[in-house]
Amino acid sequence: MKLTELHIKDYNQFEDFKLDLTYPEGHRKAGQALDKVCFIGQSGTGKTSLIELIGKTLDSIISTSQKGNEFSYTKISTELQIKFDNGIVATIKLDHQQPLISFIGEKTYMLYLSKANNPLSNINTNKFYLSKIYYFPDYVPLQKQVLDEKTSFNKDANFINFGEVDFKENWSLINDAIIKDRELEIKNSLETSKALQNSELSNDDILKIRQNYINWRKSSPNPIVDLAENFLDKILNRFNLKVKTELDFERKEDIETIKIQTRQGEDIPFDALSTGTKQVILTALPLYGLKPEKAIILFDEPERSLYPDIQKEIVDFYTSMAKDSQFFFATHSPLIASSFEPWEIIELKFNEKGKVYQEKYYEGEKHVDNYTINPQYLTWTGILQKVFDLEQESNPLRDRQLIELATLESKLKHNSLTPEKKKETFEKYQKLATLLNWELK
Amino acid sequence: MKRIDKSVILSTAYKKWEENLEAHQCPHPAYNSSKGMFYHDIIMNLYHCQNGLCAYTEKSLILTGLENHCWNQQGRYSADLPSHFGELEHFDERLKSNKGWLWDNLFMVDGKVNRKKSSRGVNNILKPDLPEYDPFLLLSYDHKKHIFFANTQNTDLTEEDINSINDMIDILGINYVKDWRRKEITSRIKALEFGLEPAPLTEYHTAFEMTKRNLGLV
Repeated sequence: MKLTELHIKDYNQFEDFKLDLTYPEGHRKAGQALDKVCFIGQSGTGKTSLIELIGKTLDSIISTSQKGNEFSYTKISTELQIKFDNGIVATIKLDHQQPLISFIGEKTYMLYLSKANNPLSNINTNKFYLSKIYYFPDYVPLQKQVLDEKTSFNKDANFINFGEVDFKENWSLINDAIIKDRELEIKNSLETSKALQNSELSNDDILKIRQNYINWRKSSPNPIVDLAENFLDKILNRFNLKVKTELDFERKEDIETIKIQTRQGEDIPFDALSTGTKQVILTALPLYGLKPEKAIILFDEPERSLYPDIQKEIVDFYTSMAKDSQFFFATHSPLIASSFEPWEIIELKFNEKGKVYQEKYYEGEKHVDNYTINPQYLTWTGILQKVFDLEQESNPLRDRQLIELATLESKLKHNSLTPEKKKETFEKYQKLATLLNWELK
Repeated sequence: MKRIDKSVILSTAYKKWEENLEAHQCPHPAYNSSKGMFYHDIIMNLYHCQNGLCAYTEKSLILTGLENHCWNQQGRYSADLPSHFGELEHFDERLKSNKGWLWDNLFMVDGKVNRKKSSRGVNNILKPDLPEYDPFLLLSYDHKKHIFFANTQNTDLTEEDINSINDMIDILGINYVKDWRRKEITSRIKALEFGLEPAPLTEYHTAFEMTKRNLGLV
C-alpha cells in the first residue's frame, strides 16, 4: 500500500493543499505511486508536520480498518484526504468534540473511509495490502523517552515511532536472529560431524556433506555478518569503524548489544561513538531487523550529524534495506535532495496569505520532458541556488575578491608592466586564484 | 551600471517643493519612507528615468506604470503604484537626515541590494547620474566571472581610482545579481556565436554590450 495522493482541505498552514504522489507521464512508472518522496522548504512550512500527519493518519486508517467497523463519508470542510494505490480513499476529519482516534499535536481526528472506489471490505479482508509504518524522527535516542514505562516495544505494531523505542529493544530484533542462527549453526555442525563419522563414506560423499554445510551457510548468512558486510560497514568504514562479527557466546553480555570496533580491531564502547555514527546505527538496526516489505517509512532530517560524503549516500542506504516500500524524507540538506528524481521532491513554500503551496518544477502538463529542474544533474551549488532558492553562490566577501582577481588578470593581460612588476602581480594573482578555487583558464 | 539621465522631471510638484527647500537652505522634513508627501511621485519619476531598471545592477524592477499619461496636470502621479521590487535608495546615506528628499541623491534599486548595501562611505566616482560618469571608461566586465571591475586599461585612472571603483562596485552591490546576469547574457551570446538573433534583452544592457566587445561580436 502506497500513497498516491494527499489532499488537506484546511489544517494549520495548509489550505486546499493537494499533492500528487505519482510518477509523471513519460516515466517508466507513470501513474504509479512514488517510491520515495523528499519534502524540502523553509522552516515552518510544515515538512515535519506532513511526515507526522502521514504516519499518524495511516496508523489510524489501518487500526480502524482492522477493527472492522463501519464508516460513513461525511463532507466537512476541515479534512484530510489520502488516496492509496489500491484505490481506497481515506478522509480524516478534524473534530475536537469527537473521541480520539489519531492524535496530532493538539488536534483530534475522526476517521472516515470512502467506499467510492473500492469496497471497504477489501481493506479488511486483504490484510496483505496493509502497510506497516515506521517513523524515524530527527533524533533517535539511545534510551526510551516515553513517560509511560508500561509501553513496551511491539515489533508487530502497525506504527512504530523509533523516537520512543529503547536501543535494547531495537537490538533485540537482531539479537533474536543471532541466537537463532547460532542454534542452527550448532545443530548443522553437529549433524555434519555426525554424518562425517560414518567410516563407509567415499571421498565424494565427504565432499558432498561438507558442501551441503557450506551451501546452508551461504543461503542463510550469519545475520551479524550480513548486517556488517552488506549494510553497516559500508558507512562505518568511512569513520574507520566496523561491526564486530566474531562474537563470543560464552556470556550473555557478549551479544546483548552491537559491538563496534576500529578497522584495526580495537573495541569501541557504544557511548564513545560520535552522534552521527550512533544515529546511523540506531536507524539502520531496526530496518535490518524488521526487514520492511510494502511498508511506509518516514524519516525526519536523515542528514543529522552526518558529514557531506555520507549524506549523499544515506538515502540509497536506507532505501536498500526495505522491499517495495514507500519512503518519505524531510530535509534541509542539498546533498540529501540530490538523491531524488525531480518529481520525487516536494518543495513547500508560503504564499502571500501565509498558506503553504507546492512549488512546481515543471511547466504545462506533468510530463518528464516538461521538468526544468533536476537535482541529480546539478552541482551542489546549483542545487542550493535552483532547488533551495539560495540567491548567492557564496559569501559576499568572495565577490569582492573576484573583483580583485579580475583586476589583476586585466592588468596582466593589457597593461605594460615591468618584468618585476608582472612577476609580482602574477604571484598575487595565482595566490588569490587558489584561495578562490578559481581555475586558471 | 548605465548612466542615468535624471533631467526628465515628470513630478513637477515635488521638484518645485524640493527646489524651494534647497533655495532657502531649509532642512528637509524627516525622511520617513512611504509617509512622505511625494513618495509615489519620486518613485515613479525615478523609474521613468531608469527605464524600470535598478540604478546599480540594471535588474528589471517594474514592468508597467512608466507611461506619461499616469501624470496629471499638477505634476503628480495619479495612478496606483504598480507592483515593483524596488526600494528608494539614498546614494549617500549621510544626506538622509537633513536632505532626505534630495532628488540628486535618490535612486530606485533592487530591494535586496539596498538592504545589503554597505554602510561604508560612498565615493561619487560611480554616481550614475553625474555627467562625467561613463561606464565604458570606468568599468570593465569579466564575462567568465560575470562581474564588473575597474577598467585598468583606462590610463587616466590612477591606482587609487581603481581601488575606489572596485570598492564602490562592492558597496553598491553591482555584482550581487551576477548569477541572474550570467543566465541572461550567456544564452544571448551563444545565440550570436551560432549566427542567430538573440532574444531582446530587457536588463543588464551594459554587461551585455561589454561582453560583446570582449568577444569581438560588435
